[in-house]
Amino acid sequence: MSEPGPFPIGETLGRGAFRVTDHLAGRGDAQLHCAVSPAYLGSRFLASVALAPRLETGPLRQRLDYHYPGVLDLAWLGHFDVAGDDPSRNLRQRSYAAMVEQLPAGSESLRTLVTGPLGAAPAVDLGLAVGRILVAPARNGHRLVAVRPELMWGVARGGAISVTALSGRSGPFFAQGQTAFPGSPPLFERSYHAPEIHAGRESQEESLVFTLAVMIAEWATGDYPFPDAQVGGDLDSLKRGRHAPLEVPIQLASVLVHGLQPDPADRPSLGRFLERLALIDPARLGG
Amino acid sequence: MRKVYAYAFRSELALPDMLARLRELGPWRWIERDNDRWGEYISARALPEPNGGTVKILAEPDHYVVNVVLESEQSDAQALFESVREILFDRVLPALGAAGLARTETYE
Repeated sequence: MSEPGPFPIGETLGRGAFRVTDHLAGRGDAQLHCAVSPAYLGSRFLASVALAPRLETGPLRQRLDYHYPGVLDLAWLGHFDVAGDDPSRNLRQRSYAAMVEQLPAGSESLRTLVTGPLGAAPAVDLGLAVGRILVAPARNGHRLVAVRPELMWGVARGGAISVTALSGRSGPFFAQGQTAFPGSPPLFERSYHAPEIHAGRESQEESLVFTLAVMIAEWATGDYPFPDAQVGGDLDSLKRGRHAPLEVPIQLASVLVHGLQPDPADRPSLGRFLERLALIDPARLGG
Repeated sequence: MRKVYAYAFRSELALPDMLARLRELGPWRWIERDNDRWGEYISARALPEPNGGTVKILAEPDHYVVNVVLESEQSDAQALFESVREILFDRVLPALGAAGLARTETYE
């Protein structure tokens, strides 16, 4: 067995049911890691780690334990295992909590799979696939507004990328955490959240439309549409819907600008947005 | 209810060519106009009286701006405004070969 790396690499959860292996993103109060389980050989898990000493695992687990096609299943949620008699180590184990979700076999993070412009047609296909996964949870009140490329998994076959699963639970999970290191960098630099989420208002189905529109624009062009907006910094352009010029065919741009409206009342419903995307003639989108 | 918005876009067409193309396209009736503030531009009434509904296309040095001002007291104002949006984005802008669409400051 290899030597444990910096916390939480090598640490266990659920009385040894899961062991954190690889770091994916984030430092300090909010991090993403991969985990494995001796009980599920060959399976990989996503471990979201937060500083949350007072996490009430029962109610949160109840809130987040839902099952939908294309959405990662919640495998476990709670604090790190305490072992040995080192008081400072055990205090740390009790202070940090993790949420473990099962990753689909053979899939990679979309952030890894999509590294440049896909072009309009593949971006629309990807957006439709993601949007269709989001519909059923949204109808049941689970608006997975935390969804973003780093929290989606997919496979690349024959030049096409398809989505296998996504997670939208990290938002509610990290919201339970606290900040010990005020200057530490945010978990992600780019925001895919709609302006109303940044304003602290409750999410709506149309919040998902904004998020989808941002991702589709980015996948199509390779450029994040709010280049001057940064998490932890100035998000003014995103909040005002002032995106960069959309260098995509006008048929797609028309749908995207509707989805990128700053006021959710001006955006189409999720169903209507997906319907309009699906109606775009692929011949108009080019190769 | 009132709604005002504007989008910047690029097009290879000159304003007179846009006018010719949009007159042929319908359903709005486009006219040439000019004033001291905005120079030459083209505009169309997008909603019937008594509603207020004006769509203008103005030329900037390296791009165009389509500026939309909609006003209605009707109970179905939202649907009326949505119909204008659909015509603008699904018919007008594609007919102009618009590219690089971006929300911008309104002309008021």
